[in-house]
Amino acid sequence: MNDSLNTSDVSKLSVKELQQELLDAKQEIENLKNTSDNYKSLKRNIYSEFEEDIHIYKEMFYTSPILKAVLIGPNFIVKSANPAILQFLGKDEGLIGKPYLKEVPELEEQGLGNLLREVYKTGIPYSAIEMPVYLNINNQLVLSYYDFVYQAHRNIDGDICGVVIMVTDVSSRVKLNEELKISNHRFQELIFSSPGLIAVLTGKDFIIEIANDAIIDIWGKGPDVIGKPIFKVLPEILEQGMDKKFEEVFNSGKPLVAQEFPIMHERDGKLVEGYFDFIYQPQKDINGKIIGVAVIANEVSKTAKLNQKIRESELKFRQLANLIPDKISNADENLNTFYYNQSWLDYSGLTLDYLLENGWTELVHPDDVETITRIAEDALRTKSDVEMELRFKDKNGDYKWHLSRATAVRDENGDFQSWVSATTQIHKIKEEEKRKEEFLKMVSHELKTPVTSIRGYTQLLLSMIKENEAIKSSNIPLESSLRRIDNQINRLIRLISEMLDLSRIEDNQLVLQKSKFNINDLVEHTVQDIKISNPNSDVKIEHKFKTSIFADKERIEQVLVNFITNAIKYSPNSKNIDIKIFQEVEGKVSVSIRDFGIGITKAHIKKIFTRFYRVDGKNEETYSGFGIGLFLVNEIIERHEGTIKVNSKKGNGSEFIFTLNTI
Amino acid sequence: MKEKIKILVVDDDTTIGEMLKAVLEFKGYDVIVSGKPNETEENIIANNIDLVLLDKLISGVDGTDVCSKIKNNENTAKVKVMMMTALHTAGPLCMEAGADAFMTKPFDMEILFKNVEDVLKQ
Repeated sequence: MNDSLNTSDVSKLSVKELQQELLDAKQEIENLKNTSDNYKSLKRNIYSEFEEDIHIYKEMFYTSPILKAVLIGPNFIVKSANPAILQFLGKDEGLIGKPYLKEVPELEEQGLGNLLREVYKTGIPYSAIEMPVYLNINNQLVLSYYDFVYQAHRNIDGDICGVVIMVTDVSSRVKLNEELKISNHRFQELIFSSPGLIAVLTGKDFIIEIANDAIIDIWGKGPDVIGKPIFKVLPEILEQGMDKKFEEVFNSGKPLVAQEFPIMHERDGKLVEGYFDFIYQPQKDINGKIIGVAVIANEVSKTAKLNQKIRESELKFRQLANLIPDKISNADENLNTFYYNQSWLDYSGLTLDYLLENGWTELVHPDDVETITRIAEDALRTKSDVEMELRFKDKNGDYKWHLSRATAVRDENGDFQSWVSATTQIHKIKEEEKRKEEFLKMVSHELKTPVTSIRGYTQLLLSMIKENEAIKSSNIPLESSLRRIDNQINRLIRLISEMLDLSRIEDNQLVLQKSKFNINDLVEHTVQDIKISNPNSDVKIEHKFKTSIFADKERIEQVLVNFITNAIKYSPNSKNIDIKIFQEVEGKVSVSIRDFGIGITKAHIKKIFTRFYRVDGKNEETYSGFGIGLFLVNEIIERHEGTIKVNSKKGNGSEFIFTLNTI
Repeated sequence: MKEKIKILVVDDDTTIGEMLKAVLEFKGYDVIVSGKPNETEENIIANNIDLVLLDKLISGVDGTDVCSKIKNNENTAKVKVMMMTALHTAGPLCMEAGADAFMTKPFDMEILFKNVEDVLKQ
């Protein structure tokens, strides 16, 4: 096709050709138009994409939580600043177009201006992490921490035209880290300053990750143990099989608790035994996987050894208690028995459990239950020591007599703790005693018969002599001999009577045959009788008070005879005996028997009224007697509801005073 | 002259019986001694006894039983009975059995004479 169409040519062209020409032209125009449309569309697309990008960047810039600003020129004029940085600086959009360092002067003071200028000059970016920066917020300098980047801003030609700043406030992170550090420090302090023994072992080899001073000291090592496997550091505990325990905790994830566990450990180069309370606690990571074992321990060697001693001592006492043939028991304040020794089990044939459950009361003889109950109630009330005789059933069902003593155990403050009872079988003794009493009764009875007979004949002879002047006047001392025999018989009778009385008292059979009589007459009469057998004694009677009493005359005579003959017996160098009948208290009469003999020491005074008691001492032992006279006297006076008083001093004689009720 | 008072001593221990016989005869009484307590009632009647001195413990026999029998037999009930015992406490038992008096062995002769006189006066 031709590009141009001359008019001269047009004439030469046929219509057909012209039409074709026109069609071509039209097509050409159409093509051009299409091209133009395509271009327009392309232009629109390009423009649209650019707009989109700008929008995105703007969005990113303005909505970013990162603080961003673009500073232009050597004066760092703020060209753009996102809301985050404006808010952070406490400024508004008015900052735009103003010099940055002038608007935020505290930055210049903290050397940040120089950093900006350096970046602007060299183009080398500057970045900092967790830099502390003070900002003036509401006229107060507030410290915050920042990660930031200063980056050179270049124009299209690549020349530096400003600085882009991008800042992240990391204050909260820094503070968290700080807190973590403090917490960690505290944790370390806690571990390291603890007197308790603490170590953390990690991994299957139990590497010592943490070990406080206390545990290192117990191990007898230094701080270089950290990082080493524990069994390399302490081979001695491996030998004691502690690895099994660690592995058990490590594998099972269950803590292991031990108390007063003995472990041999090194101390000053020597293996010593120590006792420890400890917990082996599995250590887990955040996923719950076991990564090690924490050891938290306390050395309790002192208490453990003490406890050991206490246990040993208790065992010793228990064994001791079991060896004793006596029955030992221990009861609480309500008399519930919580301990029985072996002897109780052997005797009763019952088991310990049965006795603990049912107590010992069912073993008591039915006749003794009432007495026991009364005594037990008294004991519960007064918490004072108790002694009682009772019968317990043995394993064969036989009742045997026992003496049971219960003592109230008190602590240092005197507070009641428990009852300790010792029960001794006295069955044989009881039986022996009974036999002895029977024997005494028989002996005295048997002796009385011949004595009665001898006495009768002696007195018969004396009566005959009285009436026979021939014998009386002869030189044969018949009368005096018979009188001496009679006196000795009387003495023998008294001894036999005392023996019988003794068994009566023990049998509780000493019955008083009371009648009314004059005490003054009785004293006179008794003294006269005694004077016959003791002609050398000088017994004086002083009747300061005269009265009758209602008493057993024979027994009171017995009392007088005892006191007076004792006074004579124990006064070898003095023949004076003073007897005085007087009244001190209305309704009562007292008889005093005073001698000037050997006297009695204070310690003996209390005891002379006990059965078979005889004052010892070289001198005293030379005096004859059974040691039952004063015992009987005391019993007789007590049964008359009277009292006895003794005034005596060794070497200065004695005074016995008994007091009875008058009628 | 008034007939002598007749005393029967019942005691199986002859030393006491013989002694009492000697002593009481010296004092002027007629005394028969018997060691057989079961024949006491017959003895009393046969010998016209005024007073029986009866021991409480005779081998195999309790004197109180003998005393009761005497006192329950109308032929012997009026005869005085004085019991003798070595036991201080046996007195009430003797009196219960109907005895007129009792003495505790070993007794003084003066007391024996006094008691014998007293009981015969009753």
